[in-house]
Amino acid sequence: MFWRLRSLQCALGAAAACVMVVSTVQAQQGAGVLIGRVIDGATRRPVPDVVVTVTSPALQGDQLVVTDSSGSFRIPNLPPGEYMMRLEKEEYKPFARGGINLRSDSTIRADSVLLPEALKEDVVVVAHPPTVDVGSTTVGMNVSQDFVSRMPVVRPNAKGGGVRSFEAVAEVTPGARNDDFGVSIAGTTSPENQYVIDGVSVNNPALGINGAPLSLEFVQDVNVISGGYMPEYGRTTGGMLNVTTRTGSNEFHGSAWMSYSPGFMEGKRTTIRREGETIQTQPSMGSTSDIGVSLGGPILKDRLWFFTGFQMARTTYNLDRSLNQTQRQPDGSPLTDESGFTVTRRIPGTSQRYIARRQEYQWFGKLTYQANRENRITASASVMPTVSGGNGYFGYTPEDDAPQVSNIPGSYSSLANRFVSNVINTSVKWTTETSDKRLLVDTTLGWFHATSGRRGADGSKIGSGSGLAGMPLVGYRRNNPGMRSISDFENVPASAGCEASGSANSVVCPVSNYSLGGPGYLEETTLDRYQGRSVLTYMFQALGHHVAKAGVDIEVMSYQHLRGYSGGVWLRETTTGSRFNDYRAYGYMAGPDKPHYLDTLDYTTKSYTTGAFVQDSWSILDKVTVNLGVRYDGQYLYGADGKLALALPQQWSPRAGVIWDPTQSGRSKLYANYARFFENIPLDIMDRAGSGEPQIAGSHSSAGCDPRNAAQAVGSCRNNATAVNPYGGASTYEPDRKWVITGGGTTPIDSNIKPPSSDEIVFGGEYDVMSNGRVGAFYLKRWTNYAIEDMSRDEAQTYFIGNPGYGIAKDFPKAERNYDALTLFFQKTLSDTWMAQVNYTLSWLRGNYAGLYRPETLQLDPNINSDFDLRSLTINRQGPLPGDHRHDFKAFLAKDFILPDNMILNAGGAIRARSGSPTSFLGSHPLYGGDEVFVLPRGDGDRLPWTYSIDAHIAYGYKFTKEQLTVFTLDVFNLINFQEVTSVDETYTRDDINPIVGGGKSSLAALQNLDGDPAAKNKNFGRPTSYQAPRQFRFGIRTTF
Amino acid sequence: MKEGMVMSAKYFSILGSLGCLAVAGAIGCSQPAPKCTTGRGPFTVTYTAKGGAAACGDVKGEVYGLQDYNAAKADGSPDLEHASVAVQNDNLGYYADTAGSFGVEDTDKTHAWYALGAFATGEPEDDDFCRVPTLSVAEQNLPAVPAVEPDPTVPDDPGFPGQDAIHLKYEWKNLAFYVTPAALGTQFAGEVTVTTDGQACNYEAVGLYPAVSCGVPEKPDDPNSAMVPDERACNAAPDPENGYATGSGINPDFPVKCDPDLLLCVLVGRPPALK
Repeated sequence: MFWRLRSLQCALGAAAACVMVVSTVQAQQGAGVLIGRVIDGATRRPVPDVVVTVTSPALQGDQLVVTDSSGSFRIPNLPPGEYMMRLEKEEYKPFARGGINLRSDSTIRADSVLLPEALKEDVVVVAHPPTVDVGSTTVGMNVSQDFVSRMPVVRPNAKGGGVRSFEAVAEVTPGARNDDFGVSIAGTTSPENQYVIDGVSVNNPALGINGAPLSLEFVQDVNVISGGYMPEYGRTTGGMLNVTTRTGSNEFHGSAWMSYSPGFMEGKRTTIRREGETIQTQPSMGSTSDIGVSLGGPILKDRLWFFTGFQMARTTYNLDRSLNQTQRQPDGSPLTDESGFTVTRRIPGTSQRYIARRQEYQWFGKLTYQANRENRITASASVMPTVSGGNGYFGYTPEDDAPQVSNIPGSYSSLANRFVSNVINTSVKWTTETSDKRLLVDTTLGWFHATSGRRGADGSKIGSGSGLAGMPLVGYRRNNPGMRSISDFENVPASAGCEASGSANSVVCPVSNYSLGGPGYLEETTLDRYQGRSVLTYMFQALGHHVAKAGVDIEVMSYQHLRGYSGGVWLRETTTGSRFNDYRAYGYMAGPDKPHYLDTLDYTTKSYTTGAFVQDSWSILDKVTVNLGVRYDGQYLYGADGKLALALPQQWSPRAGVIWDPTQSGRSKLYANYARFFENIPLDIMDRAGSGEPQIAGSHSSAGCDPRNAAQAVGSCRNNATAVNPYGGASTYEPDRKWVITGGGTTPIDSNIKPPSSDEIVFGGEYDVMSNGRVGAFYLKRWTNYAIEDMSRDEAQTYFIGNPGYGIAKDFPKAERNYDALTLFFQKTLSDTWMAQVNYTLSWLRGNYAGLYRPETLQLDPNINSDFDLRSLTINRQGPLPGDHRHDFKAFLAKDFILPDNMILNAGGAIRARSGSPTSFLGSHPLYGGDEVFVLPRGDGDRLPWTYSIDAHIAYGYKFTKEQLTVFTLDVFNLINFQEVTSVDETYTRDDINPIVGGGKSSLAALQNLDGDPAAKNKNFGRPTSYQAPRQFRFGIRTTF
Repeated sequence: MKEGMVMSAKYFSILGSLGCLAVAGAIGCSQPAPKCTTGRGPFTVTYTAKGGAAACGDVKGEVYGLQDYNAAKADGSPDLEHASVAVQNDNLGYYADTAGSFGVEDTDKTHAWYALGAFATGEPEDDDFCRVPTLSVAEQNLPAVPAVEPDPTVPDDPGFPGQDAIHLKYEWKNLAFYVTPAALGTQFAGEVTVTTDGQACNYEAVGLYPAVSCGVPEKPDDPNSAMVPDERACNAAPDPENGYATGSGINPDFPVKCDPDLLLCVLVGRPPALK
């Protein structure tokens, strides 16, 4: 009965899970351990020499061990999956139990009772499969194919939603939530996570974000580790996302699938009220779809297997652009609505639909070779080319997977890019073990290679000097004496009444910003990471069981970055329209007024990291397990000049944990763990601060420089002889009379700099309440010790890199990020046709440092964001951080229904409820500009409201033959189409202001700008700027054999 | 350094990383030194007269603008190992700029507004100083600029009172900038001979970056009242409660005071002057 049920469940699980391609090879990372003790049912004494045999669809062949004198056994290095265990010994009745679910990185205790053959009376052995991991203190969640194929996960418009990337499911983990560049774990930011596929890190070496969005179609499970982990895992201050890919078996199995999310079925989006402008764009989802095939099977039976797959995904987004005229009152002043916004009316005949489009392709292949019982080799590779934009389409920015524009105030050629990228990720693993399984060596080599280009919409590359890459971007923004008219740039129907081209002041069809020319910033990058690691595991007995591990690893990262501005410069009109300034141009001064433009910067920066660890997991009398270990890492970063620019040795990470099983039968645990984590610093800091970004600026009179004239744009607009000072005249002490230096050389490093690290304490308990179901609670506290940031002690005169609050930055506030979370959960893995995952997290996240990007401004410059740039920026920054959601509830439930006539049905649902994040009052800083001053202490604004969503999944399948199954699926996200506010405008004023130290909301009325006048309050302050994503549908069909 | 040597140096650093396990602060464990540089912009330079006419002692100091440069290499890229520095007197700039706006210029085209010299080393010497032993001469010999009567057709046109002919010459030598990651060439010592219409004065000079005015009206409500020193203006820390939205911009490690004569923040002591 059990196996029949299992096969049907498997079928329901659709492709991946089901075909249950056998995973013969598991390296040590991700492997599970089964332990247990066998006692005599009559005497209750331990039984030695019992032959324990485990089998699993996840295991090639079987594994057997014999119990020791204490009746105990331990089977290490088992691939995750569902296991059947048999116990045999003469004089005893054979005993078998199934349904033991072994998760990645877990230790499951399965104690058993054997009944003597001679026993006459009836003894009932009641046992359900254990599910508590009694060997470790890690917290997090194992997201299996059983889960992914039954639950509504991975929204079509989420990051990675196009290819349904593994990282998009991580948010189901207790306490995790999506942030702007991925998923935030334990209060940290997504670039701090360690993303690992088959033992090889796939973080983007430049920015830290996930660099290989491998489709869930090729993934067996994703183990999301939030905290409490051992020294074998390192180089992250966030969480671990550990992906195990699928493997072929002795039978040929394959699948083909297709999914489609139509935009026209999208729920109604709430319109965001904004100040009426002539150029307006309304976004909506176009469609998201993917199609693919996979196949796995033997090449040599029992020896060599393969798995391979291909997927193609397309995502589109509609951008409906129109021109609008300002409505006037009889006295000529603008007509405003009740919110104070100017009212506009669409000009007939000016609507035009633009489309952002992205195409993604993925190929994955894996070979598994079982040389003999002791030696296994696995090689896997993935290739992931992506293109978006160009040929009339807008692109998607690769960092956040979002369409590159939300409004279109300019020409297509100046606002659109063609983005191309490719990722190649390869790994080879060799696992060798002694025949008694006491010694195991696991060696992994990996190469991650990614290329990407941000090009002109015509495909032209920076440095080529041709096409759009050879044309400067020009920004028009005249506002004195008045704004330009749309007629200056576009043909508008005469009936619209817009001012004619060349008008000095437009009031009917004003344009505050308009861009023409080339696309501006362009780049080509090549990223490489070479990794090697070797881990030795030794199991021995000494006052209990020990699993000792020691390992070394080496990681070399390289970042080649060619960048520049199209045409060598980004020109910007002055507000009077009389001149065009070099707004951005790479270059340097060889002497007073001796400018040298640099059309491109081409830097290669590198990082070398070595690490080593030792750890021991000591199980004392099967009651208490003590985990102890330490990890060492040293990272060395090199600038573009090939010289050492930042040395970060001495990264000692102690880890210590203890686990006690009060039931002594694997059905419960109480645990506590302490750990220190160090950040793996991405190379962006070397590429920018460590190598220098020399920039210069001159200014060119519009009398001789008309950038719309292609010849002048690169001729008289870049003439050194006629240039003047862009600030309206040099100060009398300045040796440079015509030019200014706006960006400089390398940023020096505090000689006593400390590597960035966090500490963590986690403790909790779990109890096995039903077959494959457990409840648990844990408390996790994580805090920042040191952060690395760039700072200026002299208010933007000079900068250095150091640790805020320490060393030469001692007069800065310390970087603080304190996360406290209490999580309650119930988890049931798939058995008896249902599964569930329910969790609630109560958390606090406070401090002055969000992490490796700035949520307020979306600045993604790991370790050189603007948080600590100036002491005057640090005032009022202490408070609840943007990720501080107090309450977070998630519930996932799925049930399989077995219908007659070869039909199957399953239904899954998810409910999410989360309290809102804090908001702040922001103002402008005299040196750093808008939204950089916290007028009142951080988080003093009203909290955003709770958000709720209900998602559903339903699948109906039909088995045509024993092996062939076709399943139709439907996912609905945000079924009720809740449209709650998810962000508001936090700009209290655009004036330069002094922060109100220790002030409250009552003091805002008296807020003055730096000129001593009352600060002008932003009319839109506190109003919504985004709402929940609307209801979306995804239809799918899949056939497997 | 050849590419091969660079690479082998990097491989050593991998070993060095493990080496740092044992010996903290060993070679390869420390951060690289900064490049020789200066604060870029206005310095307050205080003078100590060395001989010359008695009147030389009346000038307590002046404002200078400094800027550093990297020469172009043959391939057009900047030579980051070799920097030079230009020093320009604010008064000279004022006279020359004013004259220039009326089309009056020094007739000797070899005269420059600024003194220019090269750093002797790419990185600070062992005492954390970067030295510029010699600089070119900054000199302007400006003819008189005639007065211009107010234009009656332009409302409130003040006209121009005229500018006398003036000959200014600044000869700098032995500049020594204090350069560490915490203080990037923002204080220096040097020697300068200032010759005004043939009258030469020799000074030992001390520069502090940036030049910060610390004079405030004696009566806060009356901007035309006499200016008096306010030490708070020299404070490196922002003080928004007292109207200082940002700090002074002066390095907080530097001992400074508001000079009552110059009404500028000045460095107390000679470089390296640190609290």
